[in-house]
Amino acid sequence: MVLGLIQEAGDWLNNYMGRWWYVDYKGQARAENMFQVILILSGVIGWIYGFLTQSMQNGMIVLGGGAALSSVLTIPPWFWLRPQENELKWHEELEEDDPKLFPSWEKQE
Amino acid sequence: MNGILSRLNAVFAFGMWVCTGMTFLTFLVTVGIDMTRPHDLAIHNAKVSLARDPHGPNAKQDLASFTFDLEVDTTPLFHWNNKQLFMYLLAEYETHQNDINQVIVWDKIIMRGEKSNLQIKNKPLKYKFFDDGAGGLKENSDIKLTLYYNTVPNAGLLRIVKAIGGTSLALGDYASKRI
Repeated sequence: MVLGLIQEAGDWLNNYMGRWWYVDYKGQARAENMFQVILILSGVIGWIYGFLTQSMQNGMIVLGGGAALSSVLTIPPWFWLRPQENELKWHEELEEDDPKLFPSWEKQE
Repeated sequence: MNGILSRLNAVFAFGMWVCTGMTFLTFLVTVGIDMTRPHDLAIHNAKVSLARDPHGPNAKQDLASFTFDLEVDTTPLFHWNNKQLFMYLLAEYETHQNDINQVIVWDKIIMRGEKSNLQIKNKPLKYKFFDDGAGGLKENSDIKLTLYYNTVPNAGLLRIVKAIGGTSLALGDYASKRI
């Protein structure tokens, strides 16, 4: 049973890391919305905080924190950037000389 | 947006937009603040002599010297969009040679966070007060001394402000007989 679990985990990891950089279309839109909302919110909060403390530096520090947070949340291909992962059907792997890879006029006999 | 570098670029570019917006809003909020402040200036031990400027022409020129007391509170000038003041004491006078003469005789830089309430007593001049030629400062009875300052903002206008107040200086004959 333990061996089975390890096997499953290895399969999942292989499947995931095999295209680890990948995010799908809806994930791209979600990433853009996320960092825009986070950066604008941190800019507004930072500006108000800078006004209250009479220091532009404090405001810029808050904005930098927002930039760091949005970088962490949207730059690596997290699972929330792959909402279509289960809808997309991927083709099974083919051998190099598989006839499906060649156009019809070059079909190998 | 489909690669890590393109998302990094997008986050950075949008962050710069937000930073620009914050800075511009700060400029709009602070550009209307009145930056003039009153100051008290008193002159002591004023005298005038003829001397040769080591960095100037060979002919002797009028040289005035005095000490001054200056009182000015610049604390209200350091709002959130002002990082530095460059203050200088300017002598303005008229001679038979030139209608407008302006000589800086002392200056001081105040950074944000430094002591900004100045109470200076009996301070000598920082720069030599040479006239352009001889005979201009001798018995000149209307030399206006005023404090000016540049305000250096984080974002906005680099302004030259003339402080409210100032004093007038009257000089006599040459102190030394040696000409």
